[in-house]
Amino acid sequence: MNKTYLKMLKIGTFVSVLLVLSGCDLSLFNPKGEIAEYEKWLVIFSALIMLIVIIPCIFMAIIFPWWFRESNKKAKYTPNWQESKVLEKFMWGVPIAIIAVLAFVTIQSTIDLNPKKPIESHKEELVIEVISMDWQWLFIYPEEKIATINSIYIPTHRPLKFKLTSQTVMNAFFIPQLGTQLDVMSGMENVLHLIANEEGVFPGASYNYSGAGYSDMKFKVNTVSEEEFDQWVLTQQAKNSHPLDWDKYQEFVKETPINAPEQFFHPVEQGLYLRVISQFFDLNQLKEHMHMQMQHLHSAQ
Amino acid sequence: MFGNLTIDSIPWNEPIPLAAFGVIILIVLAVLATITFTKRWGWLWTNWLTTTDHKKIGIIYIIVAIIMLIRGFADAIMMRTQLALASTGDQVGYLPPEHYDQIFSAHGVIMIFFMATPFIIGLMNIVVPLQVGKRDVAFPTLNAVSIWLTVAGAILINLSLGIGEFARTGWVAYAPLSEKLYSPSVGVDYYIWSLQVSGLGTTFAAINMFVTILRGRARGMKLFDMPLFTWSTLCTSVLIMAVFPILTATMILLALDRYLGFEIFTNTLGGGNQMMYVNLIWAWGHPEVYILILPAFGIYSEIVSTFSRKYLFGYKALVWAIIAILFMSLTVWLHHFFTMGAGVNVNAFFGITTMFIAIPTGVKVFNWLFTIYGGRVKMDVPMLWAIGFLILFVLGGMTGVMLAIPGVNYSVHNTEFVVAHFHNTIIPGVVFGVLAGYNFWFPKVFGFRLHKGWGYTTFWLWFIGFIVAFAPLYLAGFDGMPRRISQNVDLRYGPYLVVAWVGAVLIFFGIVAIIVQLFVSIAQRHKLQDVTGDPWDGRTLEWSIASPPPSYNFAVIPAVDEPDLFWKQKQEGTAYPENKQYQDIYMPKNTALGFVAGGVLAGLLSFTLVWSIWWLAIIFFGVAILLWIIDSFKDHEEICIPKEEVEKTDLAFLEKVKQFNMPQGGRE
Ligand code: HEM
Ligand SMILES: [Cu+2]
Ligand SMILES: [Cu+2]
Repeated sequence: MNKTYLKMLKIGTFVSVLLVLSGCDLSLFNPKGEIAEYEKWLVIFSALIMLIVIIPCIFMAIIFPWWFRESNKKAKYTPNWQESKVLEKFMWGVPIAIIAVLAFVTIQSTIDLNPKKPIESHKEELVIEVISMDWQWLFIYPEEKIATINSIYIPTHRPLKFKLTSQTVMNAFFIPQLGTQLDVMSGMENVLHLIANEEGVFPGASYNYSGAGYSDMKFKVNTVSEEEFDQWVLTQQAKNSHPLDWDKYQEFVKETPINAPEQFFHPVEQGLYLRVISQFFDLNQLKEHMHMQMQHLHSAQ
Repeated sequence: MFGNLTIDSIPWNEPIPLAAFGVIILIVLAVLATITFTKRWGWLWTNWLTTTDHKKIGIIYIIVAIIMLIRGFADAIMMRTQLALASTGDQVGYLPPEHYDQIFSAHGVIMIFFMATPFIIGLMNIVVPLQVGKRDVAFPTLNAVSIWLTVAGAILINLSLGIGEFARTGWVAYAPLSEKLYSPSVGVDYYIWSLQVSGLGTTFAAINMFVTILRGRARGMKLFDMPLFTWSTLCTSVLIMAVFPILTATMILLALDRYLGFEIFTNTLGGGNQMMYVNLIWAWGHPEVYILILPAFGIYSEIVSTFSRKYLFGYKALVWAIIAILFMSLTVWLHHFFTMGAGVNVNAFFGITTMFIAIPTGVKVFNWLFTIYGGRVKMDVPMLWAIGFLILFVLGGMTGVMLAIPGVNYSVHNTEFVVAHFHNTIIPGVVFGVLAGYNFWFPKVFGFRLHKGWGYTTFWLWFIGFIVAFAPLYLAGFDGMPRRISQNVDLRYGPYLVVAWVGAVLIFFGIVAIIVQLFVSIAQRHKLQDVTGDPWDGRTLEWSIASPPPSYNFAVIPAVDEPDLFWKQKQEGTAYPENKQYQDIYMPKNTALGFVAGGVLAGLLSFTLVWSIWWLAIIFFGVAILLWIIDSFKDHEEICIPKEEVEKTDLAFLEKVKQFNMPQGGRE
């Protein structure tokens, strides 16, 4: 065998091994929660089942033109061959079969991964209210009356319920290693259920472009044990000196920080999150609307 | 007086856009000076600016497309460089976000609207009338209006580089980010009006193609006798006519919000609906990608069968697959926002309708493969692009189907995975397709072939460059790298982004090679001459006439009874019939309407709208309408090409063909 050829083979193997190894590290293939785990297998399964035809297709795309090249006198030339009932069945049958399987998987997985669906567990849900701003994240723990900027603490093995809204434009809330991103819009609420199964610090960020500070709209997810989490809540509550109320919130809204530092607050005004959403409604209009509906109901009786 | 336009609208203190704009101005001045010194203004006016010849208009479209490819690529390599720098070491790069965000928005808009679309419409313009045996398109004046509207849009978007700024919203400009409150500058207004102007041109072009194909075919040509490129043009035209009005309406609504304070898509107290914008823009945006890919499918069909020297395997299946894709593409737009929080039923439904498109697409791939099977494959440049397409496109299709599964989408949406996916369909699909078509039909239009060696070089640079530039992005996407970020990029993405930059450099050389190929070919045009009009041993009607074709295309309109008519005739020995019944031919005269109303006035109108110079806008609009009305009262004059001249030209062509003793299709 030719020497340079051998060398190229070695380098090729090395590079592919490196890529495969680095593949294990990719966050999608390194999930830290049930939802992300499910999504990882969905990616792998859907890719593999399609590769069953894609790889032969690529082979044919290389072999056919090579074998039937002009200069190959051994290849048979059949210029008028343009129909084959058998092949036709394959050509429609194989894609239909694959898509049928994938369609089934799609239905099942969409039901299973529905972000609104609570995660089954004997433990109580932890509710975290999330508000995206230009360009930072505010997280509120309504039960615990704690709020944080650009950082959250969550306990492992306890189902999480994120309630998402935006102060400004659309953003997307995503912690890749926990799975499922969801869009965040002003005046509206999206609900996302997740769970973490391992301790660690995981990156989260906005994944929907929202202007100049978007690249730095990151947050840190600290996943800790149940005890540590309770401990953290207690320490935050003990530091009673950083209240967050509507006026303080207004200050945040005016700032458009890039790469804002982490901050912690306690106590938090009750109903702050709802107040943020309701900024985008005309409450009088809403009342009137409700009133009309009531009248309509009465007259219908 | 001049609306919002002031001397400060020019970004004096921003060296990069200013320098880029300066270079563009210099080039334009150099071109104008050359024209003046060589006294070519008259020639330019009669031969190009006022032409109604579909072949020339097609050429202008393609020139615009190639220039815009260079501009769009300049943006791309700037982004790649920024990301490579921002993910290694210093993390800052050389572009602040205010620039970077304009660049990715401009890149997307330019590549889709001013590169891919004009390239495709240019090829349609050149080829379709020839393939259906027609002398011109149905409405030659409208055709001139279309091209100059497109040019006006392209000039407008480039003006944003030096006067004001471009949108920082991405190529689909989601509201409320694109609303006045969050984007107060003129950037989004440039976006709105350049899309409106060029979109109008695209719609007119589609109407023109649609009528040309349905009403203008040669004697005896039934729908199922049409070559595949014509078929794909027909379906694309239907799609454009169906969805471009949605874009126009969406842009009007956004303009109402921005200019007159309507609150249609805002999130202010007035209660606009931002999700409505997302729905509307994708109801147009998803079909738009099929508007680009269907014609490319047509091009590949022609090339694969010509260079395999074989009938297309499953012609009917290919046609039905295109028709199926046309309708299916209208039912899938919601897959662009699975993550918006719609319910299970909605997401599953749109996921499944999306994957259904993979079935006809898969069938087409098999059809092309089996067209090659049993052929006698000539590996010329267009065929090489087609093979490259087959190898790469199936992968892009695969990642597309993956994205169509909501559960997968939840975990890779808006990451670099998506960027890798759509470039993987659009570059091997559309860009390879138009470059293949460019190499394929160039000799028909200009009478000489493009240089083969440089053609190969171009292909390999693009093919390898594409893999190196975009394969790492799939991995970065799996690793959770968001798209559209520009600063402080996590260091772990560094290796991927540096490799991707190397790939972009390879593509850069690929683009240089396109230009070199063109100049080398012009220099060697005598050697590369296509004497007979049939350089590839072609199959469809356009190859049966001289290269370049006379202005009236066909001396006598042929009678057609199958898609590969010319091929069949060559085999039967009945190609190039003599003793034709020649007649006088009437062709439309030149018109200034397209250039003046479509180009100059629409361009100025959109510029004044961007800057809210209302009084000027009203004047330009009024004059354009007036010209149009006046023109519509005129009898469109025609020039007569006398029978004797037609006969003389045709006999000379037939004589040449005889002299060169054409290789006859399918024979040894
Ligand atoms: C020629 C090589 C090309 C390179 C190196 C390239 C590179 C890029 C890069 C770096 C981005 C930004 C990715 C991000 O969001 O982080 C981008 C976005 C994009 N590209 Fe390309 N591109 C190329 C060709 C094309 C072509 C041919 C088209 C279409 C015909 C295209 C359409 C787009 C679109 C629509 C976007 C999205 C822009 C947005 O985010 O709004 N690109 N490209
Ligand atoms: Cu919403
Ligand atoms: Cu789509």
